Amino acid sequence: MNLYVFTHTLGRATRTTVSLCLGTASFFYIVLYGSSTFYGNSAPDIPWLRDPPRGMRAMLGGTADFLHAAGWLSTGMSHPITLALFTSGALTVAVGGVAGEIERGTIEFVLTRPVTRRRYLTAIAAAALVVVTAVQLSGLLVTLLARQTVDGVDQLGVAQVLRPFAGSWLLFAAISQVSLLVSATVSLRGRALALSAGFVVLSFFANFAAMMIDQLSGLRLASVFHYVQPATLLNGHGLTDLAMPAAVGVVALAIALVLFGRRDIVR
Amino acid sequence: MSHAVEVEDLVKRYGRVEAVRGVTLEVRHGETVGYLGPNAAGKTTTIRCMLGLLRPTGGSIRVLGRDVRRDLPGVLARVGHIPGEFGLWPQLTGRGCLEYLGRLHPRPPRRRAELCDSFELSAADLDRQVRFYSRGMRQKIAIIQAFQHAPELVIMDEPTEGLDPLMKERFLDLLREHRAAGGSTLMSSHILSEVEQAADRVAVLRAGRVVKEVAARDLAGDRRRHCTVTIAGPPPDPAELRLPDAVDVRVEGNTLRFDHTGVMGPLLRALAGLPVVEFLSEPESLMEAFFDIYEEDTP
Repeated sequence: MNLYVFTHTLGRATRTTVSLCLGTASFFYIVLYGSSTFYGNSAPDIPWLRDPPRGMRAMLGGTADFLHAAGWLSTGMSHPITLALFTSGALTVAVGGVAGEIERGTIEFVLTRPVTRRRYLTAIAAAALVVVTAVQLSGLLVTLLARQTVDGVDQLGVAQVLRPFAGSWLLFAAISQVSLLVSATVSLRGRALALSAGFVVLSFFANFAAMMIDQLSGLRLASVFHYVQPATLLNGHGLTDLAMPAAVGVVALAIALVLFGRRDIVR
Repeated sequence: MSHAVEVEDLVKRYGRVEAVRGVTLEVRHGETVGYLGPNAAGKTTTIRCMLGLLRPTGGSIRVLGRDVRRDLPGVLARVGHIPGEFGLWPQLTGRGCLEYLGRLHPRPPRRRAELCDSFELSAADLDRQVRFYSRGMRQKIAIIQAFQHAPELVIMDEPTEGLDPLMKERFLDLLREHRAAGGSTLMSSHILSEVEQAADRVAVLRAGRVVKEVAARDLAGDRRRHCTVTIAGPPPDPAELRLPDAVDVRVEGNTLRFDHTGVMGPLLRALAGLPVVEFLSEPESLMEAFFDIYEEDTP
């Protein structure tokens, strides 16, 4: 890994990363703060909340428990806004670091210095992981803060909170490496972004469709989202499933290194 | 001893399109070679293959004695490059760009300050974000980043694009200094007058092949001269004139015009028999010579 490429890449992503961290932190705090009105003595007695429709459960990753803090944390982690924030964190550096540099015509200055493509790409991969980590950490830290400041959220144990965030980190780290693979093989930032976002959306909807339609249940195995279920992780289960996103990330990076090493750098 | 650049039978295909078809080219140590050719002739492709940005389909490239395929970092540590089309990081300052690129090189950027002075980039200019830079200022950054490490070989693709005449002159001075210090240069350009001033040798590329490789001074020596002879009194009948090596002889009033190639002695002896008032001999420009080469090579 080239340290200068790494710090340069991170430096350029600072504003985006800070924005995503603030967005994530705000959203998690709002969700957990709002959740406190749904449980305890003030809990509304609405049957729909006890047994949400299948479509809503599928949209929120398979379960939807609105009567406990753990359910709300799980809901927060599976919410489309969260997915958008986490996906942006995973894609921003990976897409800009290779395809964006090729499109802009800056990569020539770097690759005509004695920086090997392998060291260049691993620096971008590392920077992408730092951004993913920062965004996940902002959600985790705010959740820990909510434990101290929001009634009812203190039901959540620290280890219990750590597990879904660790799973989410692995999921979006894998997505960032898939995005890096895409970026390493195309020369246009827009195309890399579209293909990477397409992978996330398809993966999400494969999981959604598998949960909605019994005949398509096997489709869930093809989705990285299937292997990271926040509600399951909060209960201390599904940890072995996390091997799948980890493997996806490692394999994507390995393929990216091979393909980027062999490709022509042309705009 | 190996040359600074040795390209042998280089082939580069993009699918079915053959961009470079067996280019053989060399740049000797301490030599400046102009690499000429029209758009899509394969100049940029050749340069990008030399720098490892493109993977050649066939042939071999050795730069400063090292095989580009086997030891690219070893090659790039000794080479400076000015790309033809490039961008800079818009949110960085000019200084930030130069510092970042400086850090990626094993040699210290010891010429940076001197080059910034020479190309009139002030501290205030360098502290502005490059998104506010003009084309010419961006080109200065590209030139400085290539030369700031005092490379042994500089490979340039249209290096004066966007520079004003004064800065072009400074750039040619920089090339002369580089050559005087023993540095080698490969310079692709459309601006033939600059190549004429800077290059020791010229390689002309056409449709992916080098069609002529010649010392720049020999190219000038072989050049046609446009001759104009003013004669006192009525001019002679062109059919009766015996002017050695003259072609395209025209009579306009008492002025005789023709083109001449080769040694002038026999021509001057022939003209001595005429009442010559004035004789003008103007060498054709490199541009015309360049197009002559193209016409010669056209099947």
